[in-house]
Amino acid sequence: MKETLFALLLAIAIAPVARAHEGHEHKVMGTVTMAAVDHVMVKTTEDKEVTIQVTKDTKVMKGEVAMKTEDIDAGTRVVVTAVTEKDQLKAKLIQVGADPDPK
Amino acid sequence: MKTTGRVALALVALGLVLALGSYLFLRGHGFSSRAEPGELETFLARAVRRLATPMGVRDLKSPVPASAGALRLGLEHFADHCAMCHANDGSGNTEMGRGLYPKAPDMRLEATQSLTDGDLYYIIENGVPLTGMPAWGTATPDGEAASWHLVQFIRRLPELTETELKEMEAMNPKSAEEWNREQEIRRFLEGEGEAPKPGAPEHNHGGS
Repeated sequence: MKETLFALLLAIAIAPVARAHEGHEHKVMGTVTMAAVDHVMVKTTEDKEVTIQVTKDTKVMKGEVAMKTEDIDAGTRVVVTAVTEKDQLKAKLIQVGADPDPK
Repeated sequence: MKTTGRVALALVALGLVLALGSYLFLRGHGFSSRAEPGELETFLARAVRRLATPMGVRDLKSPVPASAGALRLGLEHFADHCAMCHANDGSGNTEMGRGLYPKAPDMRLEATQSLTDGDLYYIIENGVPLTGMPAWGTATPDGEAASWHLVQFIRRLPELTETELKEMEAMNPKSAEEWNREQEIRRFLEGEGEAPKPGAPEHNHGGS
C-alpha cells in the first residue's frame, strides 16, 4: 500500500517531464558499401541497403584490434550491433571481418 | 472567513486541481518504462533512497580485504549476474538496462562512484524498491562476501581494460539461441558463405 502510494506520488511528480525513449538492439550483418567517419552503409545478407550512424561511443573492432570506421574498405564483411534512436540506427559495435574478395 | 480557513481551502483546491490534472495526463499518456525520469524525480528518488538507508550503513567498511583475488571474484560475479542489465562495463547500455524505469545508471559516473562502500553494499543486498534493482542478499556469510566483492569491482568500473571486458563477455550467461547466433556471426566474419555483393550507395546527403 505504501509503495503504491509512493509510486502514485512519483508518477504525479514526473508526469509533465516524462519523455519517450527508444532503444531496441539490432544486428546488421552484411558487406560495407561505404564507410565514413560518421556513418557506415551496409548491404545486408537480406540484400537491403542500411545506413548506420557512427558516434563517439561506437567501437570498431577487427578481432582484438580497434580500428577507425573510415578505414573499412568497401566489400568488407561486418556485423554491426546498433540501437534505434529517433528512427535512426546508431552503431554500438562494428565487428569487422574478412577482407573483401579480390574480384 | 478567517485567514487560516482561506489558506486551507486554497490548499485543498490546489490539491484537487493537481490531482485532476495528473489523472487526466495519465489517462491520456499512460505509463511507459521507455520514458526517462525527469530531474525532479531523479532528485526526489535519490533523496528518498538516501533517507531510507539505515543509520550506520553508509560508514560500513568491507570485511573483505581489497585484493586481486577479491576483485576477480567480483568481476566474475558481475559478468554472470549483473551485466545483463548493467553491461560488463557498468554503462547500463544493454537492451534490458535501457528498458528499465529508471534506466540502469552508468555506474562509472560520479552519481554511483560517490556513494560510500556501505551504500553500494546496502543497495546490492537490499535492492532499490520501484526500480529494476532486485535484492541480491541471501543473509549468508558467502552471500555477504560476494556483495563486498562486487563493491570492490564497482570501484574498478571506470578503469576496466579491454582485456577484462573480453574476459567478461565469455562469462556472460547465454541462451542456446544467443550462442548459435554468435557462432553464425563468427563464421560470417571469417568469410564462410556467400556475402552480399556491395552495390553503389543508394542514398545521398544532399551535397553536390
